[in-house]
Parts: sequence; structure tokens; C-alpha cells
Amino acid sequence: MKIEKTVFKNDKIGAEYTVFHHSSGLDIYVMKMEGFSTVNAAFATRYGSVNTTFKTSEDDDFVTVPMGIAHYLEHKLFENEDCDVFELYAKTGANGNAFTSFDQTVYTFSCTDNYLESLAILLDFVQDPYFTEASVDKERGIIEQEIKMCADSLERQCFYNLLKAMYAKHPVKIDIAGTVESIQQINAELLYKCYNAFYDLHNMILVIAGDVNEEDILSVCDSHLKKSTDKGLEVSFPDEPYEVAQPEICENFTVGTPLFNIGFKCDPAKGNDLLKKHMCANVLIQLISNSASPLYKKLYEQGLINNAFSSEVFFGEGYFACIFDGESNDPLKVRDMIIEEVERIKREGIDSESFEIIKKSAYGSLVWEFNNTEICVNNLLGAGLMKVDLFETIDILAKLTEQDLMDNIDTLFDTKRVAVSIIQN
Amino acid sequence: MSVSFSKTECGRGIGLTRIYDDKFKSVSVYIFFVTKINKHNISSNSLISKLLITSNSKIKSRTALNKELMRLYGSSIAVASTRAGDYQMIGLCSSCLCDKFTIGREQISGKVTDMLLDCLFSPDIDENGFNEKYFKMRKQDVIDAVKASVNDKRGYAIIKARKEIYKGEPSENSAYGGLDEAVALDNKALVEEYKELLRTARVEIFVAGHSDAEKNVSRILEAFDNIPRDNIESIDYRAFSPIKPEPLSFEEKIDANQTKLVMAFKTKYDDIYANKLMAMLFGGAPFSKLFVNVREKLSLCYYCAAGFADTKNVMIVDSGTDNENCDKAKEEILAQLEALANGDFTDVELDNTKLALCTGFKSNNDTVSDMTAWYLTQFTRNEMCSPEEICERLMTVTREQIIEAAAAMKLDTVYVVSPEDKTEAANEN
Repeated sequence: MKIEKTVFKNDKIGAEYTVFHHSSGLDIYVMKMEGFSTVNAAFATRYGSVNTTFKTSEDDDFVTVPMGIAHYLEHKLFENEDCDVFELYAKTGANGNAFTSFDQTVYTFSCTDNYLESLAILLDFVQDPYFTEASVDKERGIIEQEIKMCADSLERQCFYNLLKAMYAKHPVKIDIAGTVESIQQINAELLYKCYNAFYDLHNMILVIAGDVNEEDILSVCDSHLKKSTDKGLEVSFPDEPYEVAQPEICENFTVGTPLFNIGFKCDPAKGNDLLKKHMCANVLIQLISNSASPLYKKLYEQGLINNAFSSEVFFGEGYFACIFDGESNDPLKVRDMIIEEVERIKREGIDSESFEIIKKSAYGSLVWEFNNTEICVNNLLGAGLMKVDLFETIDILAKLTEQDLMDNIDTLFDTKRVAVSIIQN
Repeated sequence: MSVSFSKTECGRGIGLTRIYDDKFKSVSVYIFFVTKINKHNISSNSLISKLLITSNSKIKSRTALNKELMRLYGSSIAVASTRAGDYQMIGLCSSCLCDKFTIGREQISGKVTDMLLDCLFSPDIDENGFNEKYFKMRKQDVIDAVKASVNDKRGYAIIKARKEIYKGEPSENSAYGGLDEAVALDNKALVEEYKELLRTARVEIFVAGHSDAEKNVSRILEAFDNIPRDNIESIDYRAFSPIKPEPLSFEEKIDANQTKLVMAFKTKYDDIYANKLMAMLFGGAPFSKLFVNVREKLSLCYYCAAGFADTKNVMIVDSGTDNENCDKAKEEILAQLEALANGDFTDVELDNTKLALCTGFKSNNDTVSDMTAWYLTQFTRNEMCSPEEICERLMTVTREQIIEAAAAMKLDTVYVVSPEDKTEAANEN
């Protein structure tokens, strides 16, 4: 089969990877990491819980399906017509798994031997769905228990409540697995419809990292990838209001110290714009609240936060937010102090010393990640699904200026778009 | 490139382990103090280690310490903590980029090692104890961590179950100890405990990552030369948990959405790898008996997993299910164990389990922290085998040994945490 090949290299950190554009429509990312025992692989589609409204060239109009199908599909693909996929992996010794996020479904394996056989299994089962009403029904009980298990993790519950508070219409506000009610509507026909729309190789990527051989990988791909025609997939999202849906959301549950999530809702972005926006948000969120920041010191020394405090930049198709989370007896005071600190930085500008330290630290973290095949696969997956070069992050970081941050702080930390989620006794 | 391992006994109860592999771009140092767990020291050791990474006599501000680490390419100095049976290994670890990967080949690993040693041996202490401000804040962290155990109901059920499984043994204590013990922590007493830890606890030092780490070994050993060491605690990691004459059952109602079932099985069958293999075949893999039957065939749960703790000779199964299905899940778990004891598994299933376990073992070669954890575990078994050597041994485990291991497992404790009736609870309030 005809294959286009592009090599991406970064001499500073001594790493490179290759992207093959396979004639089946699939982009294949390979990172050779000599000396590592483990091979990690991921076969992913740009399909997550938020993709509930879509059309292909075969549809006259957009269709909307119940919440939780992407995750349900992930469960069901592990069952072939004649056997369970885990039985196949068991023969190679690979550890197979999968996860569904808001905007992607990813099938993975890790192994120390027989990686080509495991790769063949991965490619085969993801391309070969087999659902019957009976098998779909059987899975419902398992997924119900998964939803209930997640509801018993209060940190997770607090996060989902924040999304409900921030987003009025975007489906990111619903649990990835859907609800016990929404999954009752899922049947084999709906699963096939969604599978056929989103599991198109043009909408997917394959990533593999470890001490591997590119030619061998391509040979397995040639034999196991099915020819795929671009189905002209389009996804649609409801118009999300600029403002947060509700500034505060509070739920009572038996908890140690009250839990909080504080989110700044931002406009979404795509491609290289998203990469730069993500980097700006990441550096800003650290300037505002990392453990060397003045705000962290104040919050911690006043007993308003404890060791559980952290922050993250959360983004995907149609959503982007800067989120702080932790435990506090006064979450609203924490929110107010974060807002005060954001306003102070907007007024006084970026502290140059802190900025340089954070850049250096971020560089260290980026290099560090090349220590581990699993992290490399995850990072390549993120970059590949966004259609950007993984090493671009390092260049963007190197070129990032204080002015870039000041240009972005108003939109990334708009103090009129803040929501807080609290779980307390 | 491959992993190079060596272990040296330096005298005075100090072990030094080197694990080098030049495929890594970082270097790490772990210094563990090994102590037998008791009701009090699980909280006090946790607080001591948290205070040691907060400030030291040279850098008295937590903010300044963190800033300095960030300046050194995001290096870290953190609490290192794990447990093996009735012992806890607690201490500090540092990690940093290998010098050759810094911009302009800046020499940072020596600086980070010195900071680690300052934190460990030169803490921020005066006549009243540790820095009072940080003592109060870190003590609150420990109290909050104890309270937070209720936030994750699966973890909470296991913590509560362990109290009954190991009743009267050091292992009954959870990671941060009890709330009363945490609240009672005293600053001056803590300093004495810190000194006692340094003086009497068995020490395991690990220097790991890129072989460039070797240049920092001498300064670590020199630092230990300068502290008094005597009455070193002798250690026997393996202390099998006594089997209860009859299985005991416990039930607790809490604010939850799903029932959590924890079942503990104890055994006198003393073969670590046969027991591990049996536990994996039983419920440690997605092709195991519990996964295939309790989850896939009966759709009773999302998770139903078994794990074997070799230092206690105990296998714990945990699952989450609807309350009305709890008895059914319990019966099926017992039936599947009986099936294994009756030899109801194929040679292919056994071979696949061996392969899966070996994959897990060999993948330890690929991260610095996993390699450290691997050899630390080996030491608890009085061995120093590589993952590959253990895989060879695992391959020799026979079908008969698996049957014997399963047959020897006795149900000891059942702990069920189920959702309280919300209307009942509301009426009581």
C-alpha cells in the first residue's frame, strides 16, 4: 500500500517520531525508544461523550443520539462474534484496555513481548464490531455499576458538578458514561450507527512507542487495516452561552473536608491556536497558584486550602476551562482570593522571575516525559488527535513571552465567567 | 543498554542499592526508613516526612524551597512512602533531570541531592520543635487526609475491612492512622521521634536512573556517616495474619450509591509465586474467573478483583454491586474459588496468566520508580532477583501448586458497606 512518511525530530531532547499516512486513511505515529522493555500502543478515534449530534454523507440531516454511546461502544467492541478480546490478548501476554473521554475513545495495550501479534489483535477487533440486542442488554448492568461506582467518588462528582455549572448546553456537562436513565435507550442499532460514523480510519489514529521496528509495524498495518472511505463526518454542538450556567452549585454528601472545584470558562480553540492557548493557560495557572506562588502561600497559611489543592487546564472540542480544585472549609473565600490574584496580575503584570522559573520547570517536565513509553503514547495521541506536532509544544514554550500571557489573561481568566462547585456535609 | 543493579550493605543498618540504566533522562534518590507500624507512628511518621519536605535550616520558607526546585528544571523533593505487611517504609525522595539534558548542561543533580540531604538531616527545628507555623499546617494536612478517607467509598470500604481482617495486628492501621492519633500529635515529641527514626530505623537508600547518578552517591553516604546509629531495629517482613476460627461478617451503612463488598481469604500455604499466580487467575486479569463470571456472565458488577499480599499471606477480593445482588456476588466469588481448588481451569488459562504476570513484572524495568519499588519488594522477601529471574521461576509453577494454593485459602472476613436508606437517614436527622 502507498504510504507517505514524515519524520519529526527534536535534537534538544534527543527524541524523534515518524508519522505514516497510510492509504487506508489512517495516520500511524511511531516513536522508537531504544532500551525500553515495554511497548505501548493506542488506537483512537475522535469520538467521545460530547459527540452526540452528527451527520455523515449518508445522512440527510444531523441526528442526536442518547448520552453515553461512545462509552457503551468502547465496552461492546471488546466482544467479538466468537470470543472475548481479552482471551486473544491473554495469548500474547499483553495488557489490553480502553478508555472514553469527553472527545476521544482510545483502545490500548502494553506488553513486553509479541507486540506485533498484539497490534494485529488491536487493529482487528476495533475494526470488527459485533453487537446483538442480547449482548447489548447484558452490558447494561455492568455499565450501571460503573456509573454508580463513579458517583461514589466525590472528587469526580465535584468536577462533574462544576461542568454542569459552567456549561448550559454543551454536552460536556453530562457524565462520560451517560446516566443510568440515558443508557436504557441504547440498542444495537444505535451502536452500529455511531460506530459507522466515527470509527472511520480517516477519523482515527494509531500510536505506538517502544523499542519497535517501523517496517514490521507497517507490515502488520498493511495486512490488518481495512480500506476505508471518508464518510464526510460532521459534528455539531449547541450554541453555548458566553456566561456560566450558574455561578455556584452545591451538593450534600458525607465528606471529610468540603470539596471544591473552581472553573474559569474560556472560549474553545483548535489546532495550533489551541496549543498556544493551552501553553499560555498552563503557565498562567501556575503563576497564579503553584506552590511557589504568593496566592498559594496566603491560602495555605490562612488554612483555606490543604495539601489536596491543585489546578488543571481542561479542554476539548467546544470547551476550554482553567480549573482549581481542593478541600476547604470556605470554598467561596478561596474563589474570591483567586479572583483577587487574577485581578492583581492583570493590573501589575507578570513577575519576570516567576515566569522564567516556570518556563524552566515546564521544560524539565516536557523532557522528563520522554522517560516513559506510556506517557509518550499519550502525548503523541493528544498531539495527533489535535493534528499538531508534539515537539511544537517545546518551541512554543521557548518562544513564550510575558506579553503573550498579558495578551491572553483577560480571555483565559475572565472573572465574570467563574463557577464554583462544592460538596459538603 | 540494560538495567544494572547492585546492593551494598554499608553497615549500621544501612543498605545502598544502585539501579542504573542510561535510557533514562533523569536521576532519583530514595531514602527509606523502615519501621514497624503502630497506632501512633503511622501518623507521626507521616507528619515528620511532610515537615521535612516543607523547609529546612538553610531554606526556611516553603515558597522559597519550591521556587528553588522549580528553578532546577522542576526537580522534586517529595515524601516517599510505602508499606509491606506490618512495616512502613517512609522517607524522602528527590528526582531531577540528568545534567546532560538541561539547557547548557547545567549541573543540577548535585544541588538537588544536597537539598534532599539538607531536608533530611538539617530540618527547620528550634527548641520548641519543628517550625511552629508549618507544624500546625502540616498537622492539619494529616488530619484532613484521615477525614478524606470517606470521600472515596471503594477505598473507604477497604480501609474499614482491613481493620477487621488484621484486628490486633500492625496492618490494621490505615495509611494516615486514626483521627485521635492525628489530633494528639505534639511538636516537641515529634522531634524526638524524628531523631529516633534517624538513629534506630533500618535504612534503604536507592540511587536510580541514568548512571550519571553515581557521582552523588559519596555525598549521601558521607551524610549518613555524620549521624549516630544504634539499636537498629531488626526486621522480619513476613508475618502471616492468623486465620480466624470462623469467618466473621460485618456490615456498615453509609451515604453511598453502591454496595461495596470486601472478602478476605487467609492461607497457611507458603509459596509466594504460586499464591500470586492463583490470585491472578482467580481475579487479577480481564480473563480471570471473577472477571469472566461475576462481571461478564452475571453482569453483577463493574469491578471484582483479587490481590495477594505475600507478607501477610492474605488474598483480598473487592467488588461493587447493587445491594440486592450482594449475596449473589458473594456466592459466585466463593464458587469460583472452589472451582479453582477443584482444578476447574485449563492449562492454557494458567499459561496465559503466567504470561500476563510476567508482562507486568518485566515492565517494571521501564520507570525509575517501578524499579525501586520492585527491588524494595524483593528485599521484603529476602531476595534480590530481577524481574526476568522471577519470571523464570513463575514459569515453573505447576497446575497442582495452583490447586493447592486455592484449596488452602480460607474465608476469614467479609465486610459490606451498603447505601443507607435516605428516607430513614433523613427521619433520624
